[in-house]
Amino acid sequence: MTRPGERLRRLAARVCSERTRQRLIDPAVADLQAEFAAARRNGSVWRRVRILGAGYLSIAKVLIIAAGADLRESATTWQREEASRARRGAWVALGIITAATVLLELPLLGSLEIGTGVGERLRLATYLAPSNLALSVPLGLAIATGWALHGATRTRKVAAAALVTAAALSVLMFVNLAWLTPDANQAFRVTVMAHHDPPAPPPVRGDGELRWEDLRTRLRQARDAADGDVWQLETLYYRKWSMSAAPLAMVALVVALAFRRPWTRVGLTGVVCGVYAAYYALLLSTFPLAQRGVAPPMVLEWAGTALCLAAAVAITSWRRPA
Amino acid sequence: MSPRHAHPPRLSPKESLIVELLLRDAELYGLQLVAASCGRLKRGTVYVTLGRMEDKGFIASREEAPPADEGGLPRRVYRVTALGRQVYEAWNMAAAHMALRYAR
Repeated sequence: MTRPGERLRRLAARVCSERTRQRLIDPAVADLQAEFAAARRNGSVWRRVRILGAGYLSIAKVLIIAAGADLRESATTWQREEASRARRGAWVALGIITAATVLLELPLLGSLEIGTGVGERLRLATYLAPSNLALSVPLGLAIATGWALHGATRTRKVAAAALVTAAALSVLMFVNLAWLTPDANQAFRVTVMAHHDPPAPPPVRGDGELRWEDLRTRLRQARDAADGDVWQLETLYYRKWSMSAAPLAMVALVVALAFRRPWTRVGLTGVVCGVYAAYYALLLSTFPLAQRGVAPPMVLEWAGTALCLAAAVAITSWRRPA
Repeated sequence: MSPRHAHPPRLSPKESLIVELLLRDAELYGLQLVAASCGRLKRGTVYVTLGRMEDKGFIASREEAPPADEGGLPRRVYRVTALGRQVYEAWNMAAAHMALRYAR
């Protein structure tokens, strides 16, 4: 039987230095195991459950602090190969994000039947960019991380840099989805309506164009009134959260896969594209599933991101076959 | 003077509490320190604080033998070093001096 904390200890062996694991993680795990063994002798099930919950939470917290400290300590000493890989990864990410953003815009821009010049079309393309970034950033970062970490010479520092970048972009993505995208979408609608013949008045903001605070207010009002369409607002609300976390979740999964076994660049890119396609398909299916009441919108919207994160943790902490 | 000791050693409130508890009980596990602190130390951060104090030389630790009957990892037990005791006493003395001087 696996003793409590062993899986987190194996995870620590992959993300922390040996010294950090011995000094910070092992004492925490040893204390948890001793406390759990004492509770087992006393026979109280609830006490055991409480000890496991508190113990795992505390070890996870120690792990995050320790991994961060390790990263900070090693961040100043980049080898030439590592720096070059990180630079290449950044360029690949930028290229894919730009290309994906433009490609996602083309169908909508092409379908617009309004008499606008090139300049006006470029302005419309700018308005569409923020909403497309939510899809192109996770893909670009994930593929770039795969490219930087392919083969046998993958380094933990490059992986950590990718994870830190992804975490920072997740925060920026939330700002984008909460405020920038709704304003840009509304500006797009206003511009399009102004070019109609005869010109139409500026449209009122729909649910998709509500800024974060307005969406929260509208959601609270709908819940209070027991509105039948509250699921739509909940879907929009939780989607902003889950899509913000998507860059971090995708990169974490790629890092876990890359460190699990050596990959060719094409192989890892293929797996990343497959995972992203599954994530995107799941994202597209959440709206009809929420409408049918298959599961709460929060569960459906978080499913793809949570699955990626769970898979990353499981792959990283999985015991390697002897 | 080496750069490491360019400033006098400092004790944060948490570090001071840990030294105080270890001076009272000689040797304690991390979890025992959390229990003895009456909620002032959290089990999610106590090991990081202990590691930092060990780096500074305020405390030392040793691994106990692994539990014979149930297996599992050997527990780490902590104690105060002479430096830790000196720094703690110096800080307490300074605090008492300041309290006397600025007391109204």
